[in-house]
Amino acid sequence: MKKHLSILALWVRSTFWGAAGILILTFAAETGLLWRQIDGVRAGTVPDFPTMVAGSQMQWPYFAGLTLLWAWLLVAGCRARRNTLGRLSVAEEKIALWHGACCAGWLAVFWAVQVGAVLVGYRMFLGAADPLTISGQTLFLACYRDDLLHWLIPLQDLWTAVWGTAAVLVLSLTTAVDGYCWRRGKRFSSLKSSLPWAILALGPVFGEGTMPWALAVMLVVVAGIDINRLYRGWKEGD
Amino acid sequence: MLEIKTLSKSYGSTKALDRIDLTVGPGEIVGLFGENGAGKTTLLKSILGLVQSWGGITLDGEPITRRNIERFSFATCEHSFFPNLTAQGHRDFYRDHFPKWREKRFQALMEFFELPQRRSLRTMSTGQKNQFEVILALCQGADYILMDEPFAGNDVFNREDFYKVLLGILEPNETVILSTHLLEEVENFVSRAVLLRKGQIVGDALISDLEDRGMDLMAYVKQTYGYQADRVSRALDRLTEEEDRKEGEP
Repeated sequence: MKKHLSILALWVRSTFWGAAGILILTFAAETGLLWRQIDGVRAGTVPDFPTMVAGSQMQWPYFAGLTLLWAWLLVAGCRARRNTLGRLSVAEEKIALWHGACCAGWLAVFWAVQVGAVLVGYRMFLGAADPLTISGQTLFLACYRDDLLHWLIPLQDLWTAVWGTAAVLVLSLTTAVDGYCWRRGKRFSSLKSSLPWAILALGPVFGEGTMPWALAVMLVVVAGIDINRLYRGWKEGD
Repeated sequence: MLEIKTLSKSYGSTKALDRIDLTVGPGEIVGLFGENGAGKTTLLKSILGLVQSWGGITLDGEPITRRNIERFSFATCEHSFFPNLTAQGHRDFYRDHFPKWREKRFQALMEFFELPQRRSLRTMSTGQKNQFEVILALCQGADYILMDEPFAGNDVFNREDFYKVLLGILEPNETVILSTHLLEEVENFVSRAVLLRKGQIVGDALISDLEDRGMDLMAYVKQTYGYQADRVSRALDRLTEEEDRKEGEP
């Protein structure tokens, strides 16, 4: 287990500073955009929290942040040296799975940062809004009404939560397998993660309606191809 | 004992290795020589399983798998370290994966080459990166140390230091297979020369045997490759003659 944890630590160390920088910038940009709506809230032209979120255009830093994070995690996987990773007693396929775990961790932190930015924005809103227009359920209702907020905090909507989690896991797995393919010289196989990235990145930008069943089928196909590739590589290695 | 039998590898229609047979025993320091594209890198990577090849490669009679791969280390000009990690980070990682890690040797070499422990490899100079690459290979605790042009980009003094250090620290059971173009520099370092050409072994000689025959490594290489010393002067003469003829024409 020590060897496996050491590989996970290697991935975390290899990605830490770049990912942390992207997360901080994304958070700063989102809270900055929300802050710009405060005057409108005070003047009463921004009547509620969903309007404040929609007017802030915070979906664009979200989109840029997720894109950069995905690219950074992918590059880290491609740049890792097979000259060493291929000489370890741990199978390369398992090393790729640890990369996937690292990607999933960073995406989870990215989600937490988004929720954090929304909560900070909500605090700003509470401080500036007319007390008569807010209640204890303002945020709760906003997470129902607004597409972006509903994606981030899918209250009492199991399917959106399942879809979001599945998309994060598939993006993590495909990013890891793309790096694995790249390290083994299969450069053209290394583009599959762009599909789940598009689903995750564009879903909140254009709303929930952009997630039809066809995309779900594609997710399953991509995940199936990747698991099959890892399994075959593992069997060949033995 | 590392035994390679009828090892072949092709890239498309190009044969990179063509039925190679080679045996390397413990304690040998083998120089692997050949022009670009001769198959040196492919041979080393095939031993390590980093490229798929056909034929037999065994270590003490056992095929090379994840169970015994730790008995090999690899230093390459393509580098095998992780750019975002510090030297200390590498030490921790290698210690976790290679139980025979040589901590004392690592500290001594880091100190000798004055390499920073807490800076990421990405920020080091090419020379420092190469030095660190070789240090990792030497400290892994491997029985067979494979090196592929490890000093490409290092200055001559640096390289000389390394050869001296290598000769000083290698233990009798440690085997080195060194692929390089720097024939004259490694002549006093290697104990055996293996010459590759177009994926085949065209020469294999002990340096002591060459010395008995009154031949140096460069002469042996030239003889084996059929190097024509007057080739350049003949080509220049022909070129000059042609130019003179053209000038003479009306």
